[in-house]
Amino acid sequence: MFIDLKKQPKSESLLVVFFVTACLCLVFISYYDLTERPQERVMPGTGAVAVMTDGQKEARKRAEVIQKVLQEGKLELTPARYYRTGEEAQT
Amino acid sequence: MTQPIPAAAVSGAAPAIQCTLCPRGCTMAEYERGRCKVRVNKGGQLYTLVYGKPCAVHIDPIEKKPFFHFLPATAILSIATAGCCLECKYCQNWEISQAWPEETINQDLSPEAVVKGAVASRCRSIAYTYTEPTIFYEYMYDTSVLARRMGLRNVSVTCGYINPEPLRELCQVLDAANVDLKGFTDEFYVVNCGGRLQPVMDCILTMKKLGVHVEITNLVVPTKNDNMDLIRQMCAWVVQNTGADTPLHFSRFSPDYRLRQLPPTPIETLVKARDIALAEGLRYVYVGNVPGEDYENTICPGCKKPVIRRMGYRVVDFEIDRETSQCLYCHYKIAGVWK
Repeated sequence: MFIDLKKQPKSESLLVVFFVTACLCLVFISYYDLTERPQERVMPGTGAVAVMTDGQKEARKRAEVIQKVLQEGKLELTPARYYRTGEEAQT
Repeated sequence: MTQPIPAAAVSGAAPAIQCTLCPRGCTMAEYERGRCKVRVNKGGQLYTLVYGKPCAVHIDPIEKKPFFHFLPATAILSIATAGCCLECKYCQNWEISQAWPEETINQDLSPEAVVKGAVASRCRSIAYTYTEPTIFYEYMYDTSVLARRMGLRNVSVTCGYINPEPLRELCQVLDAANVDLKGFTDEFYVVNCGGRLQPVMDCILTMKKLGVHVEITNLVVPTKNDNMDLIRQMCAWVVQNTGADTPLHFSRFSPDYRLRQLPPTPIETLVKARDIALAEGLRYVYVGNVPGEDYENTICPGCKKPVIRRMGYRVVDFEIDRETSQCLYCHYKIAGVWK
């Protein structure tokens, strides 16, 4: 132990415990905050800044998965019906 | 949460498209999939990943679907692919309905092969079931067209979450549907299923209007949708809109997927729901997933005698004239498709 609590006055021991707990809470909160926070990245060639959330990263990963699955011939693409394209799709 | 970045903004790829098959209306960037997990945008065009790739193929008794007033005691070839447009917390088939199609073990089975298999197995009909058939719409539709040509019937076991246009087209080749009316509040659908109530009601009405034989199933989940006032309202709506002859099945919930902490539905709750439905005027009300009880029998509304006695999925007694649909005891016309 760096600090022997038994040798400290009671109020100081409490202070140490409080400080350590607060630090742990901060670490915990920042971890979850960071993982949920959208991360900025510059799009190559455009200079535009896009915001990537975890959900988007997951979507990107899925896109890679689907390309791999198709290359392996596990699944195939068959034209589907009932969809809208262009500006209609954004509404 | 922010919306996904349109793929074009990221890579100069195809623009986003919007699927209009089901009321979710997913907008997808390049290589992105809808919430159903099986419809994908590639190059600005929508594709399905599960055409001819069923992950479940079985021959079942039609009573298992459940259909109690449609070709009873016949075998039915049942197919499903991975994926679903809803995310019910209590899904009984979540291993395939909530799976990605690359995660399930799929067969290569063209529509022609499905129909051939059904004929060879002496099935009278094909069921699109287990998961939500809407998400494999093209596969279901093409198979149904071929099935009809071979004299087979098509039935769908569905959550009814489909837009009017594709539904109307599907109804041209659909003979019967068992629609899962999961609850009778929008809140129930939003919280427990990731959907809305109104499109399901609209689907039932459209099917009925277009001459599809409709049966309704309500899976009663303890504390979630077992409010008897709401069950009464639901039954009244069914009587008013699809008629007192609509068969209604109250199914027993068994703890599964994300609602494992709940107990199975008490049988008394199901019996109470059945009594309410009968009091509201429905003529054919059943209690499902409770084998060994009398609540699976069809009682003639005319003479009150059992005209179809069932034991589990087996029909042990059938007292209806298949030609005239009449009760053999009192000649009351029993609603249904019997031949």
